[in-house]
Amino acid sequence: MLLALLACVGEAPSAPPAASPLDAGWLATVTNRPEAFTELVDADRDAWVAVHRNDWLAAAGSTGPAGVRARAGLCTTYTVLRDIHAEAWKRLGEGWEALGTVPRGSPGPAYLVGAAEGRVGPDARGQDWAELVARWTPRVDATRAAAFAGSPTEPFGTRRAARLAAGSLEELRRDVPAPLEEEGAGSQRRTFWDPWHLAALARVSCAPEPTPEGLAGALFSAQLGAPGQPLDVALSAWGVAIPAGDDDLQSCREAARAIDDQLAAWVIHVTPSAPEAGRALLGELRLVDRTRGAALVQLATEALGSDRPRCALAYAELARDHADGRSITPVNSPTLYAVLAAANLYTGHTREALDALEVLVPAFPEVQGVDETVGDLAVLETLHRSGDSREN
Amino acid sequence: MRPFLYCLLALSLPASAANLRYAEDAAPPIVNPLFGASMTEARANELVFEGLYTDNKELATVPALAASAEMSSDKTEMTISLRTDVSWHDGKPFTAADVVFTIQAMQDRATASTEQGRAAWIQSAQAVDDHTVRLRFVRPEARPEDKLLFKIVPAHGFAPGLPVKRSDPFRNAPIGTGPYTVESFNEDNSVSFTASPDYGRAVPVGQITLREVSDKNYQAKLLLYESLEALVRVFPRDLAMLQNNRKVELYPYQTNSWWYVGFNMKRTPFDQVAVRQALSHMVSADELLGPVGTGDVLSGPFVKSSPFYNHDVAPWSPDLDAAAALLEGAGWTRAGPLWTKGTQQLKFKVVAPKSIDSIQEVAVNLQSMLKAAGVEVDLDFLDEPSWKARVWGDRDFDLVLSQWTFDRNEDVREQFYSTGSRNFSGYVSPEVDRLLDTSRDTLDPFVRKNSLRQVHARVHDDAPMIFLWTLDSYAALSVRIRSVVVHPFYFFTWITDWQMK
Repeated sequence: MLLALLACVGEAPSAPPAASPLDAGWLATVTNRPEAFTELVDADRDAWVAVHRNDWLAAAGSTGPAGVRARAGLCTTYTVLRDIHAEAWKRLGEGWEALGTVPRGSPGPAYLVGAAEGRVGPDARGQDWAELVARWTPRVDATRAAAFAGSPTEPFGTRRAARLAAGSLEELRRDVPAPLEEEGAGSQRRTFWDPWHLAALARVSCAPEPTPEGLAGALFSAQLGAPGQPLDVALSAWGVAIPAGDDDLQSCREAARAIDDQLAAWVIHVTPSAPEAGRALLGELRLVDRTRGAALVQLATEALGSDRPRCALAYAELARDHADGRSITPVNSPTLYAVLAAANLYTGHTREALDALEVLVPAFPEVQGVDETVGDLAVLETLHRSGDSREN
Repeated sequence: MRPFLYCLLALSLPASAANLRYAEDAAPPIVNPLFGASMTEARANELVFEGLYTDNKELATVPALAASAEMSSDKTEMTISLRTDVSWHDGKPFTAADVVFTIQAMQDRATASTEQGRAAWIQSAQAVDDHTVRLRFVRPEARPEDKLLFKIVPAHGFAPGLPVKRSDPFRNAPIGTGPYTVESFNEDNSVSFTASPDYGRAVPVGQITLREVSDKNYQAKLLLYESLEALVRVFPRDLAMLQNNRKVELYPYQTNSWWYVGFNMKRTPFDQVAVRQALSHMVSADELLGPVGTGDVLSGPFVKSSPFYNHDVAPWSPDLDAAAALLEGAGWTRAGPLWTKGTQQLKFKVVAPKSIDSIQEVAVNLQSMLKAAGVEVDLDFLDEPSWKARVWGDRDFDLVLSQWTFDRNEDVREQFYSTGSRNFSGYVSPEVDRLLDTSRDTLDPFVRKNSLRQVHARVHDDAPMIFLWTLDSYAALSVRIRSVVVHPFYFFTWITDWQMK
């Protein structure tokens, strides 16, 4: 599919630009100097292969640059998932309380405070979250409240202490995911999942480490321009303005389409003169599709961070390879699905968030807790509705 | 030949600047929300009609035809003030009498509205004055507006009195208050809609045409050749082609749908659970799914990403030995090609609606699969009126092969409650009724979730249906249509925000 972009029936760019930021980037390096790619990858083949197929968990154990890159991918993914968990608990807790059906002594408030604590750290930085923690802490039962003060109560306090102390991904991923606590039985059963797990995974995978230099720091990344050049600067050099401010999904869709045009133009421009091995890498490893997807996911992540969830959703949907849209693949990364889930959640489409989370669960069983919590929220949000069903 | 055909189509159907043409596998024979059984009808209804309330883009309930409402302190009564600036498409004013008429028609047994279940929670509806309605509820309702999303029809649009007949002339001359009027049902089975000049806000897409394109293989090509602007459901094998075309954008349209084979439990031998379970063991959903698309094989009446899906329950495995053991335990023997019990043979008829994409291929493969297992099946593909008469009306079938699609509530009550209006199987389980009652009545999300997970397990074991799969589902729209946000179920809910370049 090199180039599906080329094969399009759509309007082809009339003339390739004389120079593109991509000429200074890793895509050009791999295409024009495939030996540089071979040399890098052969030094840590298994890990780079895993990075390429977005199997970051497999690559994260590498001590080389591929490991650093995989951990960076996990950092973004776990951070988005951590925030989803906190947001879901926030809305679930407040909605549940409004219904008046939180049983006396329920663990619910403690889990809400735990998820909020995971979102912002033990000192609850961030005004909104600090307020949430302050509002809910008095409703936490005495035993679990002691856990927040460091008392090793079972199982809540013990787990909290373990998560705060955890120092490695392996340690955090060793547990078989299961509810930390349950209350009731049968149809009255309620399950509560570790509220700190994703936060601890985010913390560990986001631990600062030196960024690899040169091709090792950029290979398979969203980077469009010269090494170290921020995405928006490269796009600006292309004349692609990334909408900021309003959360206008149409502007964001158009920006994404402008990126497509530039990538298509660059492929036309670069491939005739590239060595055969470089062209083969470009095509067989789907490097253009992959880079396009990664760039759009990065834009989606940034849009989420600037409170523009509709744009995030637009970018993420355009990033997704729909032909294999429910698997983790070289084009569809774990971050893509995490961002899709978050963008849906933040735009009120809670049920649709579950479609994206479900893709992550087989590879990331630790997502099961957030999947269940978002599911509880989805149920809460439709509790008063009577459904509609149709044939076909 | 085919490229020539496409070119011809493209030439003969020039794109109009403000005409959005979308494809459905089958055109709705009528447009009347009281009798809407299919997604095709639901989408058409969304263009023409409005409810008292609707979903905003964040899927929160907001007023549509309602202006405001007050609840009684005991939550058993709601007084709704209606908007006074709304007219029906024929110019007559929208009034409280229309709301009362709609609810009474939905509830009227003789009318046999497909929407009966959606109004069952309302005890009475009364017009206080022209623009005020009082609703009394069967039980206290905390947020009744969340259930008042059904479409309102005009009392003056029908022959006076109840019941309303499906054959009422309204079916081809519907009158709504929504953004579009039905301009014509055309000879080529298309339906033309025109923006209503009296709608309360601007409608940028001036015309919409629903085109029947029954051959799914042509739909994507018509979109690429600009003879259509939208496909509501992309044929799975066309996904890659469409996503690589910069004239088209794909939108997830993940309605919660699943395919099933349903037994008529009122008929022998499907009244025996062992027979139903044995037939479940004879079917390989994976094999049937392969030619249709990509999706998940299911073990119960929810899709896998649903909070109600019970992951502890596995789908029935294809296992002819297990099937044989179940049948033998129930007194069946297989001496020849078919299983027999006395004079009775495992030989029956499967009916399926013609309108569902790929259903004929699935049915033929199912027939082969069952034949190899000692069961003979005749197939009968029904057009929509016959389907509604035989399956919805007379329950005249042995097995049905079909598909249910749910909105985000994934409310299966009508399908599995003993008196449910869509319980074609005649399934009766006091335990499932109890669980469905619990899930309906609870105000605890955890309790609803776990009740429905138990329904999943129980329904799987009782096997009133063989649950097959859910398919990945996308819509595709021309990039000429801008600012598109697709409602996850009704599709066109926010069409007044769409624009055409």
